[in-house]
Amino acid sequence: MSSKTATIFTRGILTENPVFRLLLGLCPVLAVTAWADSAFGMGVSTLAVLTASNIVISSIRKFIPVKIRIPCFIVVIATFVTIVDMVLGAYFEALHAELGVFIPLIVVNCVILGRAEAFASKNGVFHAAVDGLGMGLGFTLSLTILGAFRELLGAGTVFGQNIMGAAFEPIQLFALPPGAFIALGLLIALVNILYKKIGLE
Amino acid sequence: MKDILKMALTLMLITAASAASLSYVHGLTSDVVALREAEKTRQAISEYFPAAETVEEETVEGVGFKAVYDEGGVFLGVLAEARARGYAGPIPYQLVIDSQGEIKEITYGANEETVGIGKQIEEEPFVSQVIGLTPADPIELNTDIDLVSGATESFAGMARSLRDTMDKFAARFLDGQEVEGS
Repeated sequence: MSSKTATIFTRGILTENPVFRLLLGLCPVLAVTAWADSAFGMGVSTLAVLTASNIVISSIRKFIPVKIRIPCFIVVIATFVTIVDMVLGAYFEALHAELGVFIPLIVVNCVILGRAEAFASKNGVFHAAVDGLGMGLGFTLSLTILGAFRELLGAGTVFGQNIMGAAFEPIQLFALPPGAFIALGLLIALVNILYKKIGLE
Repeated sequence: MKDILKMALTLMLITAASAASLSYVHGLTSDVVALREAEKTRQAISEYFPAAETVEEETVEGVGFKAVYDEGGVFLGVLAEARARGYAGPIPYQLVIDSQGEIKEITYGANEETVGIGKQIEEEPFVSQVIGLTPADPIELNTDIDLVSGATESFAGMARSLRDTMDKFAARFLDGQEVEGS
């Protein structure tokens, strides 16, 4: 892996992490992270859409007139989102039911349109794919961490496994929407402290 | 003019490619979904009505009934499919009702009720309060269905819809029997 490829890949996970560093795509981040498994499912769905749309947009970037690039990007993204929606509905019924309306809403996730506009439409297919994978992994990782954190405090479990024991009284606030804001704020503060410590600014 | 044509053509090509790939994926996945739904129905029927021979489908004002009959044409019960109006949109649910009008099972489809609040319609004690209900029961909040504080809309919606489904069931399949509370 050349150093440029490595930089593109790790950027989405660490220095430009969409959730903890750029605060992009926060609608699903706040909405479906009450449980670690649904957060992980949403992350992987977004990863798939992001990588696939980056590849397609990068490969047709020279044919798209500048004036209509945004509608073209949206059509490509919406196509992949609908495919993910149908595949989840057919093979992962429980996850599909859990994520509900937030799957179609991946279309308007600004991380995806943002990467299409800022990166895929200006770079080659390979680098666009690596960028999509990196950003998607960063997004999945952040969502899963937030989901595990909220599930641990809100229900005493992580991925459905009991962690805190029977004596633990769940803090229901963390399973509810306001808890998402509080948990995300706490995690961003933690990430900022960590990044300062290791000099990764 | 040339610009506009080029833009229109590009967008048309992209949407056409999108439509083609979507119809291809839909063809692959719709069979899987249809098979799974059929399998669920078959399982519910064989679990609750082992003597089932024929199944007749009909819809009564938005409530779907699959009426199950045995070899001799004796009515065994129904699988009913209905939607309640919850706090965050529709709550699709299925009931297994036996020939006496008693609810044997309730299962839920995908809904957006709030986890920990409205979602309690899918948990105890609500589920056991629903099982065993018949059209003769009042099916009312605070009478035979307990209200969970904070989740009024979800529970009221379910109670209203259950009442309605049972009324339609009774009118169609239990004719001649006294129905109270409707």
